[in-house]
Amino acid sequence: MKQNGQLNIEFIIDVALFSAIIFAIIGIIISEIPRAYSIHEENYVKSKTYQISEILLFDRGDPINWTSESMDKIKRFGFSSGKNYYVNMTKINKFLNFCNNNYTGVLSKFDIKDRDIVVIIRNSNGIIGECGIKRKESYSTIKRFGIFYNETEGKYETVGIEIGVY
Amino acid sequence: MKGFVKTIEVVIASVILLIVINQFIIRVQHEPWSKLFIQRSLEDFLCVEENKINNYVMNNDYESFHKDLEYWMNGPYDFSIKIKDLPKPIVKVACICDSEDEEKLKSMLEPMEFNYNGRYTNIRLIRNDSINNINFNENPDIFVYFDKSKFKNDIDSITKKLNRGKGVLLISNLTNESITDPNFSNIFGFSVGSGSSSGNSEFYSISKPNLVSYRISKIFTKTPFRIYTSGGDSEQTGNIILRNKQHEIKTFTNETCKNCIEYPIDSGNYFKIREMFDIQTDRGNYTLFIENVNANKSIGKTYADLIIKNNSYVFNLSKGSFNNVELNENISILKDNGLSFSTTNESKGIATWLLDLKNNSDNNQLVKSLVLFTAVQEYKLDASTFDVSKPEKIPGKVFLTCDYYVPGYNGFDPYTIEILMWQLFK
Repeated sequence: MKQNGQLNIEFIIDVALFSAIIFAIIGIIISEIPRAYSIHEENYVKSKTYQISEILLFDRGDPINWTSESMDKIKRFGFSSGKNYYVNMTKINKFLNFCNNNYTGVLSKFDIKDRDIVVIIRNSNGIIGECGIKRKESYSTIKRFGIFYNETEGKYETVGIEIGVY
Repeated sequence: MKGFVKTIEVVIASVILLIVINQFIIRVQHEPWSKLFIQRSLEDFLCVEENKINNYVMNNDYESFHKDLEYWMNGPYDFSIKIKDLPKPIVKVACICDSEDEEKLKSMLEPMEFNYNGRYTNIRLIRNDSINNINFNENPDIFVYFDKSKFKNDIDSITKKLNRGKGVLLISNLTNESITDPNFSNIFGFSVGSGSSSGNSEFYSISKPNLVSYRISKIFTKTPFRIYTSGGDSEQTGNIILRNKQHEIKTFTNETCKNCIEYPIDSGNYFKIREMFDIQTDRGNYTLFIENVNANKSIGKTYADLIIKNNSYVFNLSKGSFNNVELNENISILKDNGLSFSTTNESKGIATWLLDLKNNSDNNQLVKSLVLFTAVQEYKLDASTFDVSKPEKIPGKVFLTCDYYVPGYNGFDPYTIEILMWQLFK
C-alpha cells in the first residue's frame, strides 16, 4: 500500500541515474578545459612562428628601406628584396643588429608579449648570425630558405632563416 | 512493471543525451604543425636550390643532393629522393630470349652508354631463358621478349612484374589470332577494330603531352643509335638506314678535324661532334645530330652515334600479318593505315608491343626510346640505384612526402622531384 510522501524504488533509480549522467557530463566538460587551453596555446605559438617566418622571408618591411631608419620609425621588419625568396643580406644584418641591441623593441614589432623569439641565420658555411633568448620550455621552430647575392663571391647563395618562438 | 519500463526509458534517454552532448564537445584533433613546418621547409629548399638540384639530377650526383638536404634540414631525419618523368640513368634490361635474339637486341640498343640530353645514361643487358630464373639481385627494370609463345606462357609472371612497376616489351609480329587472344589484348590494352583509316608510320601525336606517343616522341629525339664504320686507320665508311634506304657516310680523323663525319661522301662537307647535318629522304630532309664519333681504329671499333632530331619523323615500316588493331590515341604509339603498330597498357608498370622491325638505324632509335619509356620513368636518386652494394632506403613509420615540379629549361625535360622524409627514431 503506497502512502503519501513515500518514494517508490523506480523513482529513486531514475534520480540516481539522471544525477550520474549529469555529473559525468560535467566531468567530461571540466576535463576538456585544460586540454583545450594547451591546444589553443600551442596553436597560437605555432601560428605566430609561421606568421613571423612568412613576413621575414616574403615581406620587404615597412618602410621598404627600413635599414636606414631608427627603431621607432620601423613598423615592420622584412628581409625580402622584392622578389619571392630573394632576400637582402643588408636587411638581415641590420635586423640582427636591432635584435641584439633592442630585443624588446623587436618583440613589440612582432606583437609578442610574455614570450621570447630566436632567429638564427645560416649560409652554406654555418651560422652567420643569431639573436634572441632561448628558454628551456617547449617551443616552436621553423626553417625557411631564401637566396641572396653574395657580392664577394659574385654568385647567388642559399640562406637559412630559423625562427623559434618560446 | 510500469515503473520498470520508466527506468528503461530513463536509461535510453541518458544514452541518447550522452551521445548527443558528446557531439557538441569539440574534440580538437592534434594538428600536425611540426609536419607542416617540415613540409614547408622542404618546399622552400627545393625552390631556392632548383638550379643546383637540376645539376645534381643531370649529373646523377645523389651524394651532393643528400648532403645538401642533410645540411639544410639538419635534424634526426633521413631522406629518399625519387625522380619522376625522366628515363632512368641506369636501365637494367632482361632479355627473355636465346643468345641470337640477345645479340639482335644488343645491336639495336647500342650505344649502351650514352648521353640522354646531356645526362649520362647506361643500359645494362642480361639474358635468361625464363623470367622465373632471373636472379633477384639483378632486379631488371624491363623484360624484353621476342617470342610470343614464350610471352604467353609467362603471362602470370609478367602480370606480377607489371603490378610491381616493372616494364615489359614484346617485339614480335602478332597475328590476327594473337590480337583477339585476351592474354595479349588485356596486357597491351588494344582492341579489335576496322583498321580502315589511313595514316603514316609516324608518332600518333607530337602535340598532346598527355599521350604516350608524345612522351615517346620526346625521348626518341634524344636517344642515339650507333652505326659501325669500316675502312682504314683514320677514314672509314658506314651506312645509315633511314626509311629503308641506305645513306653512306664517312667517319674520319685528321689534323683539321678529329672524329668527324663527312656527308655526302667526297663532298667536302664535314661535321664535328655535337653538330648537325641533314639527310634527304623520299619524305623530305631529316636532321641528324652527331652525339659521338670514333674514327681512330687504334682505339677500337670505329662508329658514329647519331640522333634523328625530328619527332615528326615518318618511318617506313612493313605491315604485319594482321590488320584489325583499333587505333587509339591513348595507347597507340604509331599510326599507319589504321594499324596501331605498338600499344601500351599503363598500369603500375608499362607493357609495350612493337612489331619485329628490321635492324635499321631509325628503327633502332625507336626501339631504344621504347625501352627507356617502358622501363618506367621513375627512379630513386639514392645510393642503391647506382651502387648495388648499398642497401635500399626503407622509410620509417612517421614520414612525409613533398613533390616539386622542375620546369624544362636549358633544353632538358621537365620532371618531378619527390622527397620522402622520415624521422630516424620514430
